[in-house]
Amino acid sequence: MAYNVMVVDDAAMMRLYISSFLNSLPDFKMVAQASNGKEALDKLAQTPNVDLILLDIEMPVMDGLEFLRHAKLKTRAKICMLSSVTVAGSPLAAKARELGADGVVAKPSGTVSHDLHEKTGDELAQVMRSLMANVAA
Amino acid sequence: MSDEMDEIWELYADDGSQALDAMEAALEALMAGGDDPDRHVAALFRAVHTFKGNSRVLGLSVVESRAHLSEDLIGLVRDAGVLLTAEILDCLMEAGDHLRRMLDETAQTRADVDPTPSEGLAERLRALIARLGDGEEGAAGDTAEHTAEGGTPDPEAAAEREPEAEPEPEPEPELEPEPERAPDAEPAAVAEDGADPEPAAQPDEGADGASDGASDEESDEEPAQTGRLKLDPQFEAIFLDMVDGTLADLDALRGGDAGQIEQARIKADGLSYAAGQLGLTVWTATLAPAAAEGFDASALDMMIERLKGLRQVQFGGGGDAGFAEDDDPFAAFDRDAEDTDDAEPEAVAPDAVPASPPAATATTAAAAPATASETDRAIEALGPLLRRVADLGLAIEGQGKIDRAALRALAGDIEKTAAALGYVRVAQAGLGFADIASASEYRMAQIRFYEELVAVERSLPAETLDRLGLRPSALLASWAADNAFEILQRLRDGLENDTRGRGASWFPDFELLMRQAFHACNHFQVETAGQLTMSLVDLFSRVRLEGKAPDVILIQIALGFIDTMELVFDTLNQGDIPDIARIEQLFEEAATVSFLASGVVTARVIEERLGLGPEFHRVLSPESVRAAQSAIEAGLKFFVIRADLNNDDKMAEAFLHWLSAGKIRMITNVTVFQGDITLFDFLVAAPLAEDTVVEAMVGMDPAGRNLQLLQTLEAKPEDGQAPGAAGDVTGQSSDALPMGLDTMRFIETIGEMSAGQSMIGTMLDELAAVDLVRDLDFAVRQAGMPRPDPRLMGLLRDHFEAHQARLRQIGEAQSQLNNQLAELQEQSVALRSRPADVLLKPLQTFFSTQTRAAGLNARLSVAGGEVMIDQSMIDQLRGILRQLLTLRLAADPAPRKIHVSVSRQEDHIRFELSDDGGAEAGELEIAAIARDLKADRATLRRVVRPEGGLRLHLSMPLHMIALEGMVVRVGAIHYVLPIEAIQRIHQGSAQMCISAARGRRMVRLGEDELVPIRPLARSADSADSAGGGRGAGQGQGEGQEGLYVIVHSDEDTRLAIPVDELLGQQLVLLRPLQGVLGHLRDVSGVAILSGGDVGVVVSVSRLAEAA
Repeated sequence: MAYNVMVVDDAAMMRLYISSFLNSLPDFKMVAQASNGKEALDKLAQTPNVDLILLDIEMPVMDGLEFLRHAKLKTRAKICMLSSVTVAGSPLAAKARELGADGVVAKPSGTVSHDLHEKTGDELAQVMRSLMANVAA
Repeated sequence: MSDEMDEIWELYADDGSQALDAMEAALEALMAGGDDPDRHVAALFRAVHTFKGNSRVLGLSVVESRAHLSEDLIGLVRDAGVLLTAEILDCLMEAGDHLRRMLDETAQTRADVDPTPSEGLAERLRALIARLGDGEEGAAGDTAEHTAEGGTPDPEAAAEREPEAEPEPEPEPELEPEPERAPDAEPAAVAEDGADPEPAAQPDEGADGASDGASDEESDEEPAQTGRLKLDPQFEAIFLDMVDGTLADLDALRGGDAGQIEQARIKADGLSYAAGQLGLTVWTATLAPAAAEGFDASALDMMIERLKGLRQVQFGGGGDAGFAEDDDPFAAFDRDAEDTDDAEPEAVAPDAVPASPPAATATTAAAAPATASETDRAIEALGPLLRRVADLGLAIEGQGKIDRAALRALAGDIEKTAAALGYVRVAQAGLGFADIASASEYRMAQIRFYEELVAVERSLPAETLDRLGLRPSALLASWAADNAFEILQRLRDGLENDTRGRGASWFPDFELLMRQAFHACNHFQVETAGQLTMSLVDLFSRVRLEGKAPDVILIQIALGFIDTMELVFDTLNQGDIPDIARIEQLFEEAATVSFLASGVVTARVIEERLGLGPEFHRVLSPESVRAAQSAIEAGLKFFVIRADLNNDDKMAEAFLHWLSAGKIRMITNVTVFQGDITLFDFLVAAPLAEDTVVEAMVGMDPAGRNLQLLQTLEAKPEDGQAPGAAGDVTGQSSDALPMGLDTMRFIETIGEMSAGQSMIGTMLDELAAVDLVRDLDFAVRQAGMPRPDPRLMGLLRDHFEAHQARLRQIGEAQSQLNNQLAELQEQSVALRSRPADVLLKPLQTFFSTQTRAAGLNARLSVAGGEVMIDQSMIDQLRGILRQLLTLRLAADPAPRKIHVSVSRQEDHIRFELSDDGGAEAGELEIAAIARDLKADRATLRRVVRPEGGLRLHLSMPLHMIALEGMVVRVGAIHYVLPIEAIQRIHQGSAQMCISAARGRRMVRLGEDELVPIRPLARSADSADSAGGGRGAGQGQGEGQEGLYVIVHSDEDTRLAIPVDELLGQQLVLLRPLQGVLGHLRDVSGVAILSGGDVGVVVSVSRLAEAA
């Protein structure tokens, strides 16, 4: 059974890259996507069975950290930050941890990272699986 | 009253009097306007703080509240930069007078004072604090006043109070006063009989104790349990929004069919989850019926009413709560209880209701509390338990005795009380007190208990908390502050010892302990340190999730954090202001650690070299930095292109294809918001001219609407990158962090390249030195052929000489390259080096912690902090030095002074610890350490000082140094003599060897200049004896031509080393000895020489010692 993933990123190309990456993982499938936090909240209401959310930070309307606050109350889905501003140990990564992010991964080449799969794919897949394994445990 | 209580009251009177004396003295000094006002302000703060704590211990709430207000006012001067004015001093003088009168009265009556006479003072203090602190400081001292004054209505105070609960060092009295206090502290009755004219919960102020905003210290408390959220105003607003939305939905579904009841159940479940995430236990409990069997329309109605009541209590007006403002907010719950005639509690007993879905929530109640008033009363039962926990802790700490019966009783009572409330995790934590075997175990059980209670606290109305008298969150923060050193020590132990695990098995308590450290940071309001703790949690969590083990750099940063926080907490405990520059530096390092771990320069270096705008700050990942660095090295140009990828998919696709498929190297890109439109700024590098890039962009976007070249950048020269400031105590600029093992291999590789280059140089020199004409002439004659025409020979000579000139040119170029490699090698080695202060400063903190714990009065002085030491050696030395200091502190008599000095010899680091303590203690342990050190070729010598005390000499060989050496041959062995140790070289048979006293052989260098001869082994077979023993090699190694290298040690001992041949000067990378060579005493290590030979590097200082 594949885990259901929602992708929240304002860059359409990035959503495409992430979708393509998810397609390469047999144990995950993208079931919803949104271009900002507010849209993601609406989508969550319509798609209650999301297991994992891959979440960008810098987005218009409602950014990722604000969405994180909502989502940590409104969904049981695991939330993994996937952003160019969450380089390990950075202030925003620390803030995301404080707000309850379950995993934090940095995009390799900026907010639109065409090389996500190539450069960070293994790390991201490992983090996603670890998060879901914790759920299963 | 027991004798013990008499003593406590006497102690209170004495200590209080002293504290007030100190307060007056500080105030007088400040009024006199003398030097160093900061010191007096700090003394003033300490005095009032002590007085406040003593008052709290004895339950003198009014006294405590006045002292607390005074302390807050002083705190504004001490911490918030408020100017000390005559007005403040007058107010504090008045406070001092009041406190003195209160002390006299309370010492006499052993009861709290009437609050009325000091109301005016309290008001003035409050007004002053509000004005000077922009109202943020609030009326901090009101907490106790409320309790003491029987719930005197003061709604502002309910929101503004800032309770603290630092356990004071004085022993807590037994709980005799409690039964007396209990009736006074029964404001529930006051509230219920209508004596309270206003509900404590204010419409715009959170009533759950966690919604007071940033001004309320405890409301900022981080949930202790990993995974629970910190309830802040934003979360609260979101939750309130959810409550109202859910209530509206539930109202709409009322009276519906089974399908609608099911929908209502799902809605309630969603809200319950949110409440669980925030630790709002009462909410989860109230929503629990929705998850229970038999949830029907009537259960839904009842739940909705309860939710509305709860909403009204916790968030005030708004919504259709159905209660008038003046109504008793608990009336609805009480009515429910009456209506059901006790059946309701039965129906929702723990066993009857499944646990709320988010089982991970720490205190999710398994059952809904029967009624709010019951909960209210039951919660109050926790008050005395909290006090018992604190009292028992003080007794254990003070007397060192474990009263098992008392512990079991405490555990049982907590378990019973908490279980009755449905607080299963609190109950579980309470049971942890039953099996305590030591004071430290007690402390850990205590914090577990407080952590669970914090979640409960967040879900309770403020007035209920007031009745408790103590807030768990404040206790937790205070506990963490009081136990900060132990928390840090446990972190250190785990970081230093738990090195084998990876992923989940690596140091399982790390995150928990870091969160405790976070509480301590918050208690002391060291915000940057709090951020750093979360940053480290982030870094280690990533490593854990990836199933890896943390690397050495990360461990070093965490240890640096611990070292620094020990200093910071120590300073704060002394009432002084800590220097938090190091924390900020560590924070920066934490943010850059991923770059260093990846072996690249930091993002900041690239930002500076390219002159990138702020939009690119902190967005460069290690991959981006690597790409940028490589592009800089390749001499590429950098371009910033703004792209709108929203409307033209074809263009967007073409652009992204251009970025990834052509000559362009994508470095990074950032989001740019223009109104509602999201644009991206791409930083790319290319071997293209600006016009070529523009041409390509026009090709993709002919109208020029979506692609725009914003900037063309060129990298600044690397020289512009200033290395870490020389005066930096730690030398830890963000770009000069300790490097890991990969760096070691990198340095070794450079060394091998350098040796290879030297070999090529030697071969070229040999080729250039060959006289080809002479060789040809010789070969012709050997072959019996006629000699060539002299004109031909002349022609050949010209050609050969031209050829050799070219060879010499190549040799020179090679030599230049080799010099650069040598320089690189030296720089690389220097990068691994850190000043000894990195070791010594934390050692001083360790020392002061140890002496404090042992009740000793000893001082540690250090010297040589500027000596550079290899990073790997620092790690090793840290443990050894701590061990030695600990041993010396156990001496009898204990030393009063210890001095540690560091110096560097040519191939080793020397530490000297001298003290004035008893010399006998620890002899065996020191010998054991010395034995262990032998494996690393280090030595530890113990010398009893004639004037008393002990001196320890610790010598550690340098692991990795680049050494300029003279390569010599002695028999079959190549030796390297450090250039800096060579004084002169003597060659020629005219030198005379003479025999001096004790059979030693000397060489005469001048009229009165005799230098002892110290031969080196001539072959591997004799290396053992010649390398180690004086005289064993006598006669060996003596140069056939009387060739001597005269060396001198740091102690100015001179030696004449006979050699067969001088092979030349060369930079070598010293490697520690291994294998069969490991036992040689007079050598520092080995090095690869040009030509690939191995050279033995001689330790002149050891030779001199042996001489």
